[in-house]
Amino acid sequence: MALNSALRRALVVEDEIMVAMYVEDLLVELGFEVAGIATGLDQALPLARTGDFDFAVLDINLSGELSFPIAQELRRRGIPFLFASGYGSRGLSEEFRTAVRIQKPFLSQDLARAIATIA
Amino acid sequence: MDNEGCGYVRHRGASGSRHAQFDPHIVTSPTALTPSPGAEDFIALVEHLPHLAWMANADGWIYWYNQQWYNYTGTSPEDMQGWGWQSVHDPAVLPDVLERWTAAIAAGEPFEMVFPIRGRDGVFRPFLTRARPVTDSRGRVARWFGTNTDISEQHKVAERLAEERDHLETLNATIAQVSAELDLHKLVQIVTDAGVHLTGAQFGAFFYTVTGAGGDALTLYTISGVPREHFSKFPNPRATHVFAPTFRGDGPVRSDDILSDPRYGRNAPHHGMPEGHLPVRSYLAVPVRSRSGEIMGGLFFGHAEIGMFSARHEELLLGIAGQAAIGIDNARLYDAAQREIAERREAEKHRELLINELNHRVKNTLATVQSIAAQTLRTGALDLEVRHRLDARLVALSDAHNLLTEHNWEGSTLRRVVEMALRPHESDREKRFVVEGPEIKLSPKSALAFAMAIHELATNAIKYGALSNESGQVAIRWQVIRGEEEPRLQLVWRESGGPAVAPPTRKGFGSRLIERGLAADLGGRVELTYPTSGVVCTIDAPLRQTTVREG
Repeated sequence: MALNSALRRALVVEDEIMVAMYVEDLLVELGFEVAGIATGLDQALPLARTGDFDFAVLDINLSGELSFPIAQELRRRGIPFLFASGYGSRGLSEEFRTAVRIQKPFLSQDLARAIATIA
Repeated sequence: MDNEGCGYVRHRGASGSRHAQFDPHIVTSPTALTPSPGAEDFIALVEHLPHLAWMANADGWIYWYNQQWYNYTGTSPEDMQGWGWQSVHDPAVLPDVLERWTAAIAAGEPFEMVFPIRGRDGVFRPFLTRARPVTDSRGRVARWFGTNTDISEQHKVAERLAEERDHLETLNATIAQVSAELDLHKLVQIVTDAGVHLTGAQFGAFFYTVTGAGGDALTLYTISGVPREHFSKFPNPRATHVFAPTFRGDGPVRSDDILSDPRYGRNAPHHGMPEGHLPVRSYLAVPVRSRSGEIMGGLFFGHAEIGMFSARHEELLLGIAGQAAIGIDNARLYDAAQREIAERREAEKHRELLINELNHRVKNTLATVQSIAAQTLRTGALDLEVRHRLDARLVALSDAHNLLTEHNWEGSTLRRVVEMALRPHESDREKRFVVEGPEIKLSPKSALAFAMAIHELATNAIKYGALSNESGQVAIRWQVIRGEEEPRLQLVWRESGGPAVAPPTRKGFGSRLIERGLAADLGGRVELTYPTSGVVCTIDAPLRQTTVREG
């Protein structure tokens, strides 16, 4: 499925390294490549501006900071992304209310479905 | 006319008159067959009437008054004869009286009018005056008979009635306004205005105590009758000998002249009214006491003249004070209720935020657990199936948390719980579930238990049961059974159309979770059977245990 889509390389932004590693495993199992993992806003923003990847999986709450500036940057560059968060829809700002979102914890097929939606 | 006639005309005069100007044409009937009252009797009768009475010539020249007239007006026959009566009339009304009286004389028509006549005490009192022409045999006016009836009592009664009506209307209007008004400051103004209106005071004030934002007591006031500036330069009344009884709630204080009241002027520094105070002689004050007995404040009224406030005014004010107390009590209750509602809203919002945050953390923790488990199991080279089962269970638990968070952990409905647990299995297996049952609110604990059990049943059905082929179905039906005992919730999961079922050789975590976990959580019985036609799971639990308790 992944190999048929235009999306291949993923950026994972997730402050829990354990979860980030799990997402990485799921992505690899699904046939994607992980271009990078960022666990904080400082690390993620430069990657979002210049990184070489096709899509991003973003946690919303990064140790108390919201990941929306990253999403804005990705939007500007036209790079698709999805949110993976423990928050319900209440945690999303008005700006990203319609963005694709999966709730943690999620299954491999949930992730695959969400990626298919943004492709 | 002297020789003819009958009764009335014959007796219009009286020989017994003691008045010089009276020149009666007395005719008595010499041939009277029956004893009839004589002229003297009639004169005596007229003299005994409480009315003023008089007689005039055809041209209106009055030649006789009864004694009552002289007694009331304190005049003499010499002053009064002819048109002399004008001297006891109110000059303001006299032209009108003359105009109408001369018109009546000219027309020979009866005259009737109410006008004031001055008494010997100098006081004008209203009299109803009637004059009737007496005609001779040719129909010409021969003379006039007149009476003046003192109607000042009726007037007073009418005035009192009008006043009473006005008081009642004011009281009614005040009660209506006070009961509708929840703004304390508007309310006390209504009450103060009503007090001024009812007592006829020149001004009134309502001093009342409120609790400030910092919990301290503040004395505020409203003024009626005069601009507020008359009072704003003075300090609030203190517990002087005059004011203390009102603020203590002893009862009303009423003085015809406060300056000569023994309580007046005994307190430093002013020893009476401070300089520049509006002049007060008549003074009336009543305390305003709440239902709980607390003194909320006092109503104070003043007038620059002496003796302006009666017992009746005091009574009316007590009524107003009672209404004020009720109104203030209501306004305070309303205020307190509004504050409490605002506080509750705030607390509710705070709670929602906390729940949301907590849910976020729970789910992050579950995600971490999921990640650790996945990676631990991976190294053990375990069956992928096992990993997926674990993942799915964690997600089912997390989903149930989500559902409950949406409802602030106040529970959810059975239908939503069932639908949520089936959702992951539905997308590619359209219409394989039948879900039927009444609306039942589940407590959070029951909702979690049901969610996990349904998830396990569905997982099992996909692997071995009705959902493992292309045609099987699952019906989930529940009902409330109301027997002689307490109401029970009964839910049946029934699979059909799947491969022939054989009882499992060993019980896994799934069936233990259903049979023991669910039964314990619901305080009921759970039976899992394996007929060849399909798995049947029957859940039976007291409704009381599973649902949210209302009220």
